[in-house]
Amino acid sequence: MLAYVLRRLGHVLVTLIGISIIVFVSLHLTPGDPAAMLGGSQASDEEIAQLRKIYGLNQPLPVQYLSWAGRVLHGDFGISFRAGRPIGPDLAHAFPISVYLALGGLFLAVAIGIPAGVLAAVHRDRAIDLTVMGLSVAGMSMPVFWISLIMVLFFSLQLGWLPSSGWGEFRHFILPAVSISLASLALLARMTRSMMVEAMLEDFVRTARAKGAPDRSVQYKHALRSVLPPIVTAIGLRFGLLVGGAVITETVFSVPGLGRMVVQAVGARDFPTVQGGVLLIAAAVSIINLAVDLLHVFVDPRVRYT
Amino acid sequence: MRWKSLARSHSGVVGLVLVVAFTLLAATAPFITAHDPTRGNLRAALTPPGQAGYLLGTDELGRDTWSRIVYGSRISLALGLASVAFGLVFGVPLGMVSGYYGGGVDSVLMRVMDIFLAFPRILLAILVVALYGIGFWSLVFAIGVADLPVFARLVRSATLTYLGRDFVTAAKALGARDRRVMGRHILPNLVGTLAVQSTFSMAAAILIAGGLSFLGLGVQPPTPEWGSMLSSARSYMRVAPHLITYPGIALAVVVLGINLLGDALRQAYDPRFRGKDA
Repeated sequence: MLAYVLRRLGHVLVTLIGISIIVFVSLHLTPGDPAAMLGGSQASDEEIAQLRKIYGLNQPLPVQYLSWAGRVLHGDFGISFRAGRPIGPDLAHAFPISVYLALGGLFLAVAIGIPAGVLAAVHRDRAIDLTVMGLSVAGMSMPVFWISLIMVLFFSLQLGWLPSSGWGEFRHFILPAVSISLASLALLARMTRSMMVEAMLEDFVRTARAKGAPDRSVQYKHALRSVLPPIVTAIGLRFGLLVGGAVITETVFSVPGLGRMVVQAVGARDFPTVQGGVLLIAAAVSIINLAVDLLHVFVDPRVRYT
Repeated sequence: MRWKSLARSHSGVVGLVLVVAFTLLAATAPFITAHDPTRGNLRAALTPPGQAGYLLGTDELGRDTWSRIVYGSRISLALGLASVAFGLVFGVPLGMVSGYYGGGVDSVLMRVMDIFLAFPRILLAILVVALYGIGFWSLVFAIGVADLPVFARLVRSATLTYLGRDFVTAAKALGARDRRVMGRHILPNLVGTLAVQSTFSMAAAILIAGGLSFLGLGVQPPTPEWGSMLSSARSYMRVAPHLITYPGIALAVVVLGINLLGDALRQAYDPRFRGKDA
């Protein structure tokens, strides 16, 4: 058990180092001199040389990487090219917003997707099943940015019920959370259905039914519970994806999260901000995945941690 | 291909019809459009659908929406195909070598794949675009690079299941070289699995390409592309909602078709579904 936890921790550590190397090297693979970029188009050669010295850009790459990684570990992500101020506080401000939005989307996906999947499995091949599965394939096929625009068109412009952009109040939260949840909702409904269809044929489900347990209890207490571990894993993985995948939703609804920050930084060629945002998101995703794996061990006694 | 089981699934037939329809649309674009997709008539700007000979109306520059949607199918299908091909070309050999040889090569390759899988797909694409700029091939790389670890992992685990089988042992006993065992004996068994994954990957690739273009980091105007059409339509939502409606429908329908086809393929190749009606 302990050996398993330690080995998973080791893997995540390697992954985190790998992520940071990719993100670090990416800035140095860019066509053009980082020092010239820092200085802007007006800078003279002397000023650029000065900048190179200040930022340590004349040192060998491994040395630069180590000092950069050291600074990042202390929360120093450098200075934004665009805003001219440290990136760390901006990241610290945007990160919880993205997490909050992801949690909202995940809540909707779980609260609607799992019961919908159970319902479809119980009424297999009947109208309810076909409807749920049809909606779920449609949900996975529709582009997030299109659904978001349609929702703005309908709920904001035509009905005037909800604001089309902004952040801070609960009413700002509803449309983005729905938008971000749809793909995960569809996926969870499909997954729950297909696992439930098999679980409903199991002997222990038949036993539960034979001894006269009410339908709902058979479905949720016996069948769903037996397939819960892989579903919990899927939910965890979706959470990781939602934190970083909110790029489009955040842009459409002007939510000041990490995703929008990265997109705006790319547009402004503000590489340190892109680096910081991508690094933070990828690190969050791999740490969430670790948490899910460890959780899995506790949820499912059948998992052998060798 | 298992055409019979494919034909038995109704949704699979619908999917195939949709995919074929869009391929035909892309192939015959010049013959089924009356207007140039990039040149507009400013006096006819923002015409509603069905008026003045514009089937689906016009955009803010008076360009025909129908023509732009038809021509847009070309770039979406091309980006989807090319980025899946990229993932296949690099992912399949990597996964096969990893599974076949195992040991240190395997551990290192799979750790590297894990690192790439830690990046959400669209973010990885944005990072690549930020570095290499915008162009057809950099977009193919940006979108396809996320497929590489997916194919590599899939092929690795499939290779492992065939490694101990008698026909592989027999081929090795007859003195076949490693490359021949992998290419001639193992690879043909993976065709079904790869076909299924490629279909789903292509659907995802088309959505990511649309998303990148929507964010202004993909296909650039005036080239007709569904995501960038939706992006410019945002400014005219109140006066011309038709500009939002149609490109999105096109994108959703083509992705839906590919996903339905993928589902049917999966059922055709998955032994658990065989013999059952889907």
